[in-house]
Amino acid sequence: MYIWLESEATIKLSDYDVVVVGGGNAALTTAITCAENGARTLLLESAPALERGGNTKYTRDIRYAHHEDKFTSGEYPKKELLEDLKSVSPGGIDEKIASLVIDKSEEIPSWMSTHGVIFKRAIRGTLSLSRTNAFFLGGGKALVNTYYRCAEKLGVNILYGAEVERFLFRGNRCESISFSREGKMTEVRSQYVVVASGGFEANLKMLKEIWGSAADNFIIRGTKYNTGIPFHRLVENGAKVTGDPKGGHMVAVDARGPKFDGGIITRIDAVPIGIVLNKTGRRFYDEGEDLWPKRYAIWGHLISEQPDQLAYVIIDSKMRDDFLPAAYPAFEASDIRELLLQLELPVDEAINTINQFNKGVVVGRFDRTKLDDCHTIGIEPPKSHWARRIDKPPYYAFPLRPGLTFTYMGLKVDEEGRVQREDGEFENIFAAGEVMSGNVLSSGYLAGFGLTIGTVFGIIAGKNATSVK
Amino acid sequence: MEEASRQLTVCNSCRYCEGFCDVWDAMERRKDFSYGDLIHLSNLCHDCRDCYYACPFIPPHELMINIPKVLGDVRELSYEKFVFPKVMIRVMRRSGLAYFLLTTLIFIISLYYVFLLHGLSAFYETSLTMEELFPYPVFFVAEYSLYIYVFLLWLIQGRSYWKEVSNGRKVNMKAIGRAILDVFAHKDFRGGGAGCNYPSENGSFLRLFAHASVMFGFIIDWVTILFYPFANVAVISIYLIGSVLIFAGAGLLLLMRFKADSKLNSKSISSAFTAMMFCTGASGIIFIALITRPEWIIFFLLRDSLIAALFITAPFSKFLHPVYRFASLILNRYEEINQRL
Repeated sequence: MYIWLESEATIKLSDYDVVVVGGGNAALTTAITCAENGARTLLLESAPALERGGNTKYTRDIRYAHHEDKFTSGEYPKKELLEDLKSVSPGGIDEKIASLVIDKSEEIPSWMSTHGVIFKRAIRGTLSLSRTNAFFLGGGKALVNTYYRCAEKLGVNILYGAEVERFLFRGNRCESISFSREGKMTEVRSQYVVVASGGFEANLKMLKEIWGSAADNFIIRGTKYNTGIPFHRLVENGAKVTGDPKGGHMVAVDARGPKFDGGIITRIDAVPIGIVLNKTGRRFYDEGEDLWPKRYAIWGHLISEQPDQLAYVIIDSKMRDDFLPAAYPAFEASDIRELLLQLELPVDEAINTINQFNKGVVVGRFDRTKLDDCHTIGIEPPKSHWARRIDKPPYYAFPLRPGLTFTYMGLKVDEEGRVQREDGEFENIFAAGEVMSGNVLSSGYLAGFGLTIGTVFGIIAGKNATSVK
Repeated sequence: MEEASRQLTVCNSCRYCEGFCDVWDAMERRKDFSYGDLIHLSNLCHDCRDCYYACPFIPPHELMINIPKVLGDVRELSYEKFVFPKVMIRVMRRSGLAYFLLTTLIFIISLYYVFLLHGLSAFYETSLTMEELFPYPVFFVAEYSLYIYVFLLWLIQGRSYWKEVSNGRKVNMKAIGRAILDVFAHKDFRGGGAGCNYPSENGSFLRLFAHASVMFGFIIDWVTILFYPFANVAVISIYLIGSVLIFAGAGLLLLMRFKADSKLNSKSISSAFTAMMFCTGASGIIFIALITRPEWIIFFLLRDSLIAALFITAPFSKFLHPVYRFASLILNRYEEINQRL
C-alpha cells in the first residue's frame, strides 16, 4: 500500500517500481503484466472512475493473425494481415515494428481469455461475425472493466482523475512524475514509467495548430480525456516524434452528436446508399467508390475539406432500410424542396445537383453487399456503385461532420517499446498504445488494429519495465 | 415510453451489448420502437444490468443511457397496463399492504375455523393430523378453485399482453418449446457467459441460482402439495426441500435488491412479492420442523394463508411476471426462428 505524506505544496507518494500513465487497454495490459511480474505498480488514469478506459471503451473487436479458431470464421495468415495494413496506409508503415506486432498478435486471444475477457463465438445462429477480428462480449467498456478488476486483484494501485503534469529527469532517467488530482499536486518516484496515455484528439488547441480553423468544426468521437499532455511533456524533454500530425482516424459522423465521446453511435452509414452534398448544394466525391468498410474512414477527411466542414447525406424512402439505424432521427420531408429548406441548403443548386444525378443513374441490380452495377454516367464526380435515383418520397437527410476518433502522431519507440530521444533514448520510459501507434502506421485505418498494437506493446512494455525478457 | 424509445434508438446504432441477453437481438430486428415493442423488450429484460456497466454512454455522458432503469420502468407500467379487472390496479400499486391484510385475514379466519371445530387445545395439546385439520375434499376444493381463478385471469391478461406485443403473429410449438427451455435454463440470467452484474459490477451467477432456487422450489412444493395430505416422510422431505429453496433464494434476492445500485432500480412491486416468497419458505420450514408437535398447525395455517394470499393476488402482483416474460420469450424465439418481424 502507498502512504500519503502531506507537505505544503505537494504530496509525496511512496516509491513504485512502475508508474503507468493512462487507463485504457494498453495501460491496463502493461499494469497487469507488471503486477504479475511482482512489481509495485501505480496506474494514473486521468478520467474519473465512471469515465475510465480511454478510447478502448469505444472498441469492440480485435484483429490478430490466426489459424482457424472459435472466435473467427476462418484463418487469417500473418502475411495477409501485413498486406491489409500496407493497403490501408498510404503514408507507409514501419515494417519491422508492424511485423513484430503481427507476430505477437497470435498470442492475444489466449492472453485476453486468461485475464477474464469473454469472446463471442464466431457463429451465432445464422450470423457469422468476422474472419479477421474477434469480438468480445459487451464491447470495450466491458473489456476495461474486466482488466481493472484483474489489475485490482493483482494489487495494482489505481488513481482516477490523476492528470500527469510533469516528468522530472536526471539525465536520461525519469526520476519522478508529478500529477494533479482533486486540485492537489502529487509527486511519485518510480523505477520505470510506461506512457500509455492515448492520442491528443481531445486537445482542441493542438488540433487547431495542426488543422487551422477547420478544427473548430470537428467532432471528437474519442474520449475527452485524451489531451496528449504526457506526450507533449515528453516532447518538451526531447522525445522524438513519429507520425504525420494530421494522421488519424476520422469518419463522417452525425453533426448533431456530442462534441466529445460520441463513440460508435454517431456514425452514419448511409453515405454509399445515398448522395452527399456540401453546403453549396454540390456533390464532391464518389459515394460508391468501394465497399463501405473500405471507404468509411476517408469521409471524415473529405468533409473536413468542405466549406464549414459540413455535408448532408440525402436518401429517399426506398433506401431507408439499407444501412444501420442512426442514433438521431433523420430530417424528413415529403417534398425534396422542403427537405432542402430544412437543411438550409441553396435549394435551386441542390435540386439541380439531384436532378443531374438522377439523370446520370444507370438502373442496375442493387446489392449493397458487393460492388453492384448501379452506377452513373456523364456526371462528375460519378457514383460508381449503389447509385439509385432519389425520387421516392418521403426524403430523408443526415447532417455530417468530420468525427476524429484518434490520432497517430506520437512517441518514437524501439522494438522494446523504449521511448526514443532526438539524441539517443530515455533510460526508463516506455510507451504503449495509441501514443506510439504512429510507429506502426501513420495514416489510414484498419479496424481493431489499435487494440492489437496496444495489447502487444502493453505486454512488451510491461515485461521490459520489470526487466523480464 | 418516449425516453425508452430514445435510449433504444441510441443502442440500436451501437449494438455492443449484443450477446448479453435476448433484448439485444430482439432490438436489432427492429428499426423503431412501438408501444408494444417497448413492452416486449421490457419483459424480455431480466434486469441483469450487464449492459449498464458495459455502456460508455451512461451518466455523466450526455446521452444518459440507463437501460435497466428505463426498461424496468416500462416493465412496471406493463404490469399495470393489462390488469383485469382494471380496478385491481389499486391493489397492485400497494401490493405490500394487500399481502399483509389478506394474509392476516385468511390467517385469522383459519385459526377461528380450527378453534370452532377442534377447540383451543388443537393449537397446543391435541396433535391433529393433516387429514383431521383439512379433510381432503375441503383442501381439494379450496386449492383447485384458486388455481382455476388464477389461470383464467392470467389467461385474459396474457392474451391482451400478447395482442399488444405480437403484431398479430401466431405462436408455433417450436417457439414455445424453446421458450420453455429458456425458462428452465435461465438463459437470460447468464449474461452470455458473463453472469449478472447484479447487485454489483462484478459478474456473478448468484442471481441465477437465487431465482432458479425460488422457481424450482416453488414448482417442487406445488407438485408435492398435490399429494396432500402428506402420507409419508418422503413427501414431507421433498416439500421441505422446496421450502428451503424458496426461503434461501428469496432471501438472497432480497439481500441483492438491498445492495443493488439504486440509480438502476425502478420503483417496483417485486420486493413485496419476494418478501412474501421468503415468508412462505420460512413458514414451510417451521411447520415441518414442528410437525411432531401440536404447534405445527399454527405455522401450517400461516403458510397456507400466505400462499392463499399469493394466489388471490397473483393476477394483480409481481406474480404476473412469469406470464408476460414467458410470452415475450416465445415471441423472441418465434422471431429468431423466422429471422424477421
